[in-house]
Amino acid sequence: MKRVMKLPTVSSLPAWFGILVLEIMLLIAMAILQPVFFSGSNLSNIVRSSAVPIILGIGMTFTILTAGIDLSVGSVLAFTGIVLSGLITHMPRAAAVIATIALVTLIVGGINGFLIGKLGLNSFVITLGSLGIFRGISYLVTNGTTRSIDTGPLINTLGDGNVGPIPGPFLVVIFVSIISIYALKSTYFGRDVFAVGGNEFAAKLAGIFTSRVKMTVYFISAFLAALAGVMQVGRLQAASPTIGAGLELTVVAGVLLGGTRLSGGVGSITGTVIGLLFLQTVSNSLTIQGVSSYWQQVVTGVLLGAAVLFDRIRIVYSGRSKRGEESNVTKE
Amino acid sequence: MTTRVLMEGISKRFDAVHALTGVNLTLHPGEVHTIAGENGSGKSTLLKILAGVLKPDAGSIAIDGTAVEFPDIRAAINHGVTMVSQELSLVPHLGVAENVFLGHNQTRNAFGIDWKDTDRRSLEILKRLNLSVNPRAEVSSLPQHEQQLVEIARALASQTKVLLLDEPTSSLAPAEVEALFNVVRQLRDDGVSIVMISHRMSEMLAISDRFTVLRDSKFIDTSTRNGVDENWLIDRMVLNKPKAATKRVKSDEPQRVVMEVKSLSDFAGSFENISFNIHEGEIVGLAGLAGAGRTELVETIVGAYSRRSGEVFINGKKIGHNTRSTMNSGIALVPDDRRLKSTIHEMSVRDNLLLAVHGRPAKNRSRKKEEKIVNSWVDKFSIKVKNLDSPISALSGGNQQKVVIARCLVSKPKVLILDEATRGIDLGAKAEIYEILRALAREGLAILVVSSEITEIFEISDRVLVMHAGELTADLDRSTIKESDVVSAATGVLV
Amino acid sequence: MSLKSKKAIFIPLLTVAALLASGTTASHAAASKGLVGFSYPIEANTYLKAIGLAAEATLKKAGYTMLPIDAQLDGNKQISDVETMITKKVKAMIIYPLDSNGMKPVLTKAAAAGIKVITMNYSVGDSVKAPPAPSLAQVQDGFPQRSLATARVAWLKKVLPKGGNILYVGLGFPVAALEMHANLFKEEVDQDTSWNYLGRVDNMSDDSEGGRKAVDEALIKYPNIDAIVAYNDPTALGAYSAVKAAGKAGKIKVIGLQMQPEAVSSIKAGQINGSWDFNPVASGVSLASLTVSILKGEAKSKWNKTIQTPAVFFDKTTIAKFVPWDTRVKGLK
Repeated sequence: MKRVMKLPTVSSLPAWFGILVLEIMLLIAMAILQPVFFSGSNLSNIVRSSAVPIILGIGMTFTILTAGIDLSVGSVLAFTGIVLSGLITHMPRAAAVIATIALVTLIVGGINGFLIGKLGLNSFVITLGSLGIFRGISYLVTNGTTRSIDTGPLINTLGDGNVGPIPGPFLVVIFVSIISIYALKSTYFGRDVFAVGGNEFAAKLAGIFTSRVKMTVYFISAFLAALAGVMQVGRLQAASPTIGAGLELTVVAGVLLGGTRLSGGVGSITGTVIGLLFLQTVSNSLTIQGVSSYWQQVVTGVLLGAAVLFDRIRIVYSGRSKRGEESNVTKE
Repeated sequence: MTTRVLMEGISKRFDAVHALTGVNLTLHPGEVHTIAGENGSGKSTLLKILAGVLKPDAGSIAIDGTAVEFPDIRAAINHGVTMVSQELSLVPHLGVAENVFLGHNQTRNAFGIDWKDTDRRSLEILKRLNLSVNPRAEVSSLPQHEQQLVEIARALASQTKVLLLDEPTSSLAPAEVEALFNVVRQLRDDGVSIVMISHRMSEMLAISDRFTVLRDSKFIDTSTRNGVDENWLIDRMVLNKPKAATKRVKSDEPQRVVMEVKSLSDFAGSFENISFNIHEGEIVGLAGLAGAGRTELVETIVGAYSRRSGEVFINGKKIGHNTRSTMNSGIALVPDDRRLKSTIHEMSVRDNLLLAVHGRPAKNRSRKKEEKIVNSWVDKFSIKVKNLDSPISALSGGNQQKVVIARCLVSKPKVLILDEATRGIDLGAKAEIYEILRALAREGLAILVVSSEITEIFEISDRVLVMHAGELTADLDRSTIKESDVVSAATGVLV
Repeated sequence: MSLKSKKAIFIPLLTVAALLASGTTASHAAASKGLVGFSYPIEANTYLKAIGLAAEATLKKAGYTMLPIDAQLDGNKQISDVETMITKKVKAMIIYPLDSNGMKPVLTKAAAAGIKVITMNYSVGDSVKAPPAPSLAQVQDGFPQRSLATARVAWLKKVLPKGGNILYVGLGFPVAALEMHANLFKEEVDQDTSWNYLGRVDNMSDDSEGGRKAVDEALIKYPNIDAIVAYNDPTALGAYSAVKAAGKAGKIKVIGLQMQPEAVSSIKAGQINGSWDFNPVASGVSLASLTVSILKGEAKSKWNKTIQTPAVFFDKTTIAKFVPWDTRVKGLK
């Protein structure tokens, strides 16, 4: 008897493969059109200006994986600078950096984590609130003015300087990425994050303390936003209360482009890094090419739409997935 | 015999509703124990309390003689009690091995999680269940019954002593049920206590060693297998026995063809070249295994999915390809998953019933007329509802299903299709729905019933169609077809 | 993968096509004396755009090509834009920084790379002295100048000789130059006891709708406003519509700043009472001239200073003499 034919199945390649292909094609196109794109200084520029968004993006990946989101990261970026500017006059710089990161992580992570993780409130709404609170506090404390900071070598290197031939922020990104990848793939906590986002009830039933997991990811997000805030100060050599406004949306876009799903339970750090690098590369290439900024916005929007459309096509066709199709989640 | 689990005087209240009142349950090692009862009798609640999902308001639990309290699910698991609930609790995009060891049971070494060893251990457990599958396979890519086995594997992985199965067979085909029961017997022989909740009489009687019956939140009776038969159970489960079914009298005159399906195939490849007819006043049963393509077929007929080729005719006229036009042509579908596809949970009972009417322009609707319609259906179907404005989710499964059926009938269809109409519905309500369908057929409605329960198919159909892997393998009169014919046809043998 | 990869090809092709279809500046640069970068805080602002166009025309006459980049109100992007200009090896860059302190490190970097840095409103002290390093030359518009604040108060004295209650409408987003003006204005008002500085409300969206909202609320809070002084014209227009909606048109004076095209028709119709032309074209010309002067190697005294563009008042009686900005730009070519 003839067996009914089934459609082609889901590709077993990781979700970020498509974006990687796009990135490589863009690099090749730019190499042909504008040789100056490939100069050391320009590539360094791309890497350095994507460092802060990538660090924020890694934190965002954790929260989105649990089917939540942290919209406050842009404001926390600015808030960190303000806190640092206050502490740095009272203690040695390294101590000020550590104290700042610790304080911001505890305060922001505590608020977001408690309300979302413990009380179970909606993450979109709560972090939207934190976005306003910490931006407002930044304005209030500084009266809207930017404060110069005598940053010193540590902060400068984190934010903008070089360690030998390698840009400092690049090293930070590598370091944070490796730790995050390890955490998500090889620790119980990491697997809990996927479980909570994939099916919270199943995770509960399996004995996972879902509220603790959710609380923790908001602490992680706050910590990384604070780290990025210190790097930002290194870049500006000042604490700006206005910096990072609207950045959270770009970060979310990059995270989604990289294959992490808003519905939770599926995603990767590698995808986030590639997604955000890609967005920065697009912005940089269009600028180098001399495309007017109005066109830049159109192109970026089209690319985002196309990337999401791809994923939708992939998911729809995978509705008839072949039995035994390997899970993408354990592949980073 | 030693007692492994002793639950005494368990009570649980949800606001004003008493879910359990002073219920007792005794479990022995190495037994299959069925808890029988209608919907609302408290079976699920009792299981959830034992599993640590809920905390009892009163009563005590003792395991192997020691009193225990389960503040959370983890505590229950630590005592060897695991539950496989009705809605599968697997994490869909994670792999098989990972789901088996969900909850910090993956192998760990100095460097973190050891995936290779985790995979290896999972294969060992899956072997006990006769399941061979890639441990890295995404769990959502497996068919339903294999997913269920993965959940059971997880219970085994945590060295369960007490395994609670809540309606494990409701979405399984006969062959899969048998496979599951073999596993259950094996576990029992290994000394595991297994508690089962099921609505299927024949299964309960086939597998259980002991029974406990609950009714209206109270403990009614418990017994070993000896002396228990269908009547014993029904007498204790329901206060009013369901009426004996009125016999179907078929007239000899050839009836008019109301719906004709011709060479229908869909895009996704779930079914190919399906052709059949349904006559006026006829109830046609559509049997087959899960995955045979029956749900896809009926959903394509009503236009929810695109068709690749073929046509559907109602009273000789070709019908359109979208749900609005098929509805206007006179087809109505009661879909297979109530929660997912039919009821709008927070909406009131009244609004759910009138859902089909809401599409019409406001000036054509009159409040009074609608009230009349709603009341007449509630009456006709004996829908038990206290307040028509309360959300439909407050009704029992059987009553919800009646509302959905009423909704379809409001638009006076010529053909009514029901997909797994009585899934998850208790005996009393099931019998009522069968009566409703027979009455509708007598009035001339053409009915197609998709079902995975052979007893149901035989109970209600005039004619039986069987599908296997997307093709029609049998189309025979009820009076000439045997149960074994249906089973063969369902596995691919042409009858 | 096949279905997906076919569609995957379209997107990069689309991008490359877009890149090719867009203008390239590389070819132009070869024909001129060099590139001069222009960093806009935001290009979609008629005032700032007028500065840019004027600068471009002036640079072109001197044989230089201008490379404009839009920071889209993002501080980090402006840093990245400056880095791009460094990569593109511009000879000089003209920049209106969103955040002077924050831009300092990257501008210092540019200067160290040999790029001449000319700024607009980099330092907002009211002075014609040389700007702080790394800026070599600077242009200031009306905002940092005390003379503008005094002029506004003087005008108020003229139309409301008996004094009165004044409401200031500022921008809800801190920009140094704007804040400077707000402070100067308040100081000037406080000098005279017949004036009462009621308070300040903020336009949160930098457009006339935001101005409308802010003044709607202010009218409820302060029932006796005599004059509304806005930080720019779109805000003044919004303020006027709020005043009109409250039925107080004509009873409350409304003035703006910058003289954007929308304001011109409003003044002509007798709605807002007046505005000051910030003359972005003059600012743009000054910026470009300073740049050319530096690049030519002229004496330091010729360019190491701050040029303050004077603001000129216009009301209904004088509006006919106002020459629109784009006409002035055309006149430069």
